Amino acid sequence: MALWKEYKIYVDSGDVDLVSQAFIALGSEGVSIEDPKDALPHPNIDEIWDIPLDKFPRKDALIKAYYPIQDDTNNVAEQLKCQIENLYENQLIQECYNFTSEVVNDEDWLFEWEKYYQPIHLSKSIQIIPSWEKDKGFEIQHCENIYLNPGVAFGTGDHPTTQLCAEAIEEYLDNSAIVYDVGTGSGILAIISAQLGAKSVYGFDYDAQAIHSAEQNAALNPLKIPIQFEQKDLLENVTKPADLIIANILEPIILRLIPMIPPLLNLDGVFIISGILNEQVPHIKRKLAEHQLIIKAIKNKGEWAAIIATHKNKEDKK
Amino acid sequence: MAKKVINVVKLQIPAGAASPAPPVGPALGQAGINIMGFTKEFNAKTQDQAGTIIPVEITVYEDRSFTFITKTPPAAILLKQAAGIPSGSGVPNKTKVGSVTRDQVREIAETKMPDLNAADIEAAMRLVEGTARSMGITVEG
Repeated sequence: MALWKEYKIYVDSGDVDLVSQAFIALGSEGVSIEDPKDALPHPNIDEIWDIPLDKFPRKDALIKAYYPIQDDTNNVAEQLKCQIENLYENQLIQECYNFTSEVVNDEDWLFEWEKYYQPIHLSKSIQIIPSWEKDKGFEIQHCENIYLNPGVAFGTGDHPTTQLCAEAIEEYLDNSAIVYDVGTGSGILAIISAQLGAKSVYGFDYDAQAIHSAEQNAALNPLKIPIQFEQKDLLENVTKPADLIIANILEPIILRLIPMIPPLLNLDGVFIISGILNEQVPHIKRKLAEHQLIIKAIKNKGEWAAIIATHKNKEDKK
Repeated sequence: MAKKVINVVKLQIPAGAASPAPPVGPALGQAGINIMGFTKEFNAKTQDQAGTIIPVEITVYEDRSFTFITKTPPAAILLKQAAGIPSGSGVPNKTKVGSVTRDQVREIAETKMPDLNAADIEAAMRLVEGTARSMGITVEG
């Protein structure tokens, strides 16, 4: 659990940008804004505007900003007061607004969201069940029921790219496969690979928090084989080739990963790429071609795509 | 089929680097939005603007699905980048922390035009200049 200091200030809509900037300049990683004007219908004809009025402040816009409690050594409150006074003295905002602050903990909002997280039938043979719903009758027979505690790492099962990757793993994984999950996040794809019969599975992520989350999620499941999670940047210092390499990350990172793949993918190996938008596919395709990799299949879900690639010259090499 | 909008969430957050930490977590958690789903999509769509704080407006539908649009970065952020300074002045009428040229002001006004209530580019430039003054940034030329 982490503690945060939440600052709240009510301002006229026209003053939102300058006051927000004052918060951000003092180290907040952004702000949230609740402006009653936003409850008014937008001119989109295919939408019915039905926002309960009590969701928004009655008159002024509410800005909220957050600072980790341990970082409050530079006395945000005093500096903020000074900045607001200066903006007002220079007639740049309409009032010398007052603000309030209180301590909040991150469990408040993580718990809030959990209410909306339900078991998901991810693909033909995989179901993801939130850990707090274990043994409550959601388990399906003849299906891999995978338990997950969605925390601060990507991969809850609810995203189209996770679903595309799960389907591809189901299709291309064989029982003797060595699997690398690059950018493992919550570990969901590594866990799926282990449960669908891989010989050995490695999950890599540069983020220590993701590795921690992946290990915890793996521990929630009766794994058929142990999974090794390691903190590293992409495939750095990896020398042993794999049969299946999965990367559900983002386009710029995938472009950096592709040159590392040819020596680390076995001749009959398969490279599953996702986290890319449909319009980004041609760019990835060109990069794959530059490195003698070809596309076996492309899967789409909404605006997202997954590419399944393999060696171009595998027959020649044999 | 017409979709029913039940909420709008507005944030100003770092392009390409949104995380479930505040302000994203509390705002989206309260609205019942899939925090990780949003951050993944937002980061994918804003990678090319990494390093900039940008406004994003999320529309939440009845089934808790959502769409979002990003807007141009606040003028204050663009001015800081143009002047090459980490933050504005705490006492803008006394301490000047940097300067920008009129060409830079014009460039920022052009970037901001789609989101500003300005009749023409000259009016948009006057708004940007006002923001510059508020931050202790002088306009040269």
